Amino acid sequence: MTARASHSISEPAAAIACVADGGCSYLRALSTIEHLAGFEHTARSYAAAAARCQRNGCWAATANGGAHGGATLHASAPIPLYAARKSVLYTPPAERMAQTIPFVRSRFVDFAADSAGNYIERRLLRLETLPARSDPLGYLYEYWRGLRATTGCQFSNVDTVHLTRAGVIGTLHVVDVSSNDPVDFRFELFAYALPLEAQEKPRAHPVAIYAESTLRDYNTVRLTGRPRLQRVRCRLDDTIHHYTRLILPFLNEHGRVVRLAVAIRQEPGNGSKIETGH
Amino acid sequence: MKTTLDSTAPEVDGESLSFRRRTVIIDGPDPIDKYVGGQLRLRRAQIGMTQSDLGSKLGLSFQAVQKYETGENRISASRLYQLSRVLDVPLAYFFDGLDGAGQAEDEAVNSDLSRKEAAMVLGTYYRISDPRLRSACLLIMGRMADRADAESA
Repeated sequence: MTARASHSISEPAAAIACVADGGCSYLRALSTIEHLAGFEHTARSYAAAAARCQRNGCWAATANGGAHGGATLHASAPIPLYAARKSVLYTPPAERMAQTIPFVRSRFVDFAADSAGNYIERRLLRLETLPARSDPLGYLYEYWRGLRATTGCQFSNVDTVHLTRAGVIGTLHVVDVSSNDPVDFRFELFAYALPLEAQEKPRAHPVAIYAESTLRDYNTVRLTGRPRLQRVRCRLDDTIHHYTRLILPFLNEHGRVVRLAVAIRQEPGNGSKIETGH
Repeated sequence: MKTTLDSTAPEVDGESLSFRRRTVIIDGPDPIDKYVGGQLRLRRAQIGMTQSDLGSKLGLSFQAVQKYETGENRISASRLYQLSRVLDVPLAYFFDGLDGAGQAEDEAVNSDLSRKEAAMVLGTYYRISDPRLRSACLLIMGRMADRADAESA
């Protein structure tokens, strides 16, 4: 479990480590999602819980049994939401370890590189290759398919409990793509648990080829209204990124794609630094 | 005396007190229904129950639960009782903090109205082309405000 924040109540701060992936960031992400879905009441409650968390100690430690870090916490936050207990880096369940995982290699590989040594390799994967429920992206895709079949597939239809069950809070971006110009796409929620610097807009990424490829992928989903699954491997400023990305479109009441949910499953080696030897 | 169906928007008309019937299509969900729906959503999330889980316990579709949560559909008294049992909360939970929320909403509406009024006053004022007449208007408004202050004192 990654300790991302530490809070103190009466104990010294060092004795208490937040056991949740993200801790308050997790609650703030939930708050943002609820806000975007139009549920102001719940959004305010999550935001207030995060604020109380900062003042009174981490709610997540109590929710997880309070046995972590050796200190007894008295979190007063009345929202006993369970924090994501999974490691941020995806590990397949034990029963699948010895099985052959069907992996359909796509012929569609897009490769881009620049003179500074940055490169991006994007490989389109077939959505059917996602495991139905045992995988964060698979769970999310199944949930989204259900929404598309039974509702207007608007973001207001999203049930955050499914997102927490999928384990994607923290690795989920929500992108506003209501503009016709991809340059104006903007992150409404930026995944806090990724080794990426938070950006306001995808185009603001310092590596131009990465910004361009991201915008192109988002725009493709906006125009086609079809989800997209990709394996991305890239080197950006001496850091290797390796992840699988699922882009899901959400519509407005007129059936136009106005928002994307971009879920990321980190693959081995993601975020590792390259020793350049200089 | 006219009878009423909805209690959120009283309109005094001579001797009779009437309430305009709200509709979700025209007015949007009733703020109280929205609040109760918000409490429902919050509690459901707290215990990690999905809309489908809750719906199956009540014999409803998840879309129906969604409509309760948005306030689009009103929750009947019997349904509220069932919800309180399933979610393990007292009935009063659904209305906790409602007074404060309603007050805040009223204040927001009032400030919104005052902003609109201010815009109207300014717009009308600048439509008067004669500067002397504009000064006269200001003078009259000032006098009226002074008089109101004096009366309240």
